[in-house]
Amino acid sequence: MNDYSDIIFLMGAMIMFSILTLNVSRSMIMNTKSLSKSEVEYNGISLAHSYIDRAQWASKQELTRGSGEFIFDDSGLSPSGCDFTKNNPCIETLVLGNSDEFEIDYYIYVGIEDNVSTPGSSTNKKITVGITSPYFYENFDSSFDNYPITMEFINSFEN
Amino acid sequence: MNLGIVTSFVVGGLLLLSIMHMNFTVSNNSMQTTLQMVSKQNLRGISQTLTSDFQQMGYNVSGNDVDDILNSIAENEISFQADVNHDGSVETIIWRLTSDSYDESTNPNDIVLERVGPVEAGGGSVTSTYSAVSFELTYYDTNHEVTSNIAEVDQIGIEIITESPAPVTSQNGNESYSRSFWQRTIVPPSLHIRQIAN
Repeated sequence: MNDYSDIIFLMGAMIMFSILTLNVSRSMIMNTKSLSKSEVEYNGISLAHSYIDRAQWASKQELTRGSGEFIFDDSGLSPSGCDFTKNNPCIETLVLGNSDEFEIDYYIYVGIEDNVSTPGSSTNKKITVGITSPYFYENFDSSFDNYPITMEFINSFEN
Repeated sequence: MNLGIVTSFVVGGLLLLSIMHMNFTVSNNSMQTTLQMVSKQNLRGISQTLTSDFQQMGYNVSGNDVDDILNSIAENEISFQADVNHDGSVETIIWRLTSDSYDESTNPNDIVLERVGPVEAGGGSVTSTYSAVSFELTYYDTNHEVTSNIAEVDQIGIEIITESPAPVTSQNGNESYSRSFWQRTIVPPSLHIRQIAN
């Protein structure tokens, strides 16, 4: 038993060391993941700001789907035929890396809701910009029910 | 030699190597995290100042044309008029990416991003420097089409890339710099109002 006790002690030490190593690795991975996620979120918020910026100066017609002047068309964005609706969002790709080796896809939805708490003489439009990305999730939900970055803006127009 | 001692040395040596390897990995990761934070902080500083400047572009400027506000536009440089410190007088603000390397950084990719303009009310024009790897401006007209005609500018797209001031060395000796990226399109109110009026 005396011989075996050394081996048992050694195995115990090895197991403890392995657990320590695994925990350290896990915390390092979590660290890196949260840093990367914050980068993706920060850029997603900037993107949402860009869309709100454009919307806040648009005319009533420019914020009306199907008016012919609607400013959020799919020009230059993929997939072709996307219409910024919740279930058919457009994709804007950010290219990163020293030699452009990384790409982050942002799925963008722009919701326009008419006549939000309208006084008689004006029309209000609520613009909701939703942004999501596969980088926000372990398993990206392609049904687009959830847009983690959402910004709203109400634009008022005289009738 | 006693077999037990030899075995102890082998096992102890392996353990020591593992600990040293772990120590290297942990310190490297910690350094990488710190450098990434430095790079991000730098980028946040630039983006906040830049957003503030661009949103006030043309503030208190008289004249009905866009070129009363914009002095010059280029891919890496813009010069415009604004009363950014709200003291009633209009100043010239310049943002430009120079070709000078940034001395306070050991990163060879870092170059000087310059902002020329006032920083406090009543103060004169001051040159502030930041480190950046890339600073690109894209100008759009009212239809969000790219333009280089100063009279048509309505929106400005900004892309900035910054890197950490020092490299992270991987286990195989490769050095890399932590990178941060920011982009945004800003519609300066004073520009847009003039575009609509014209």
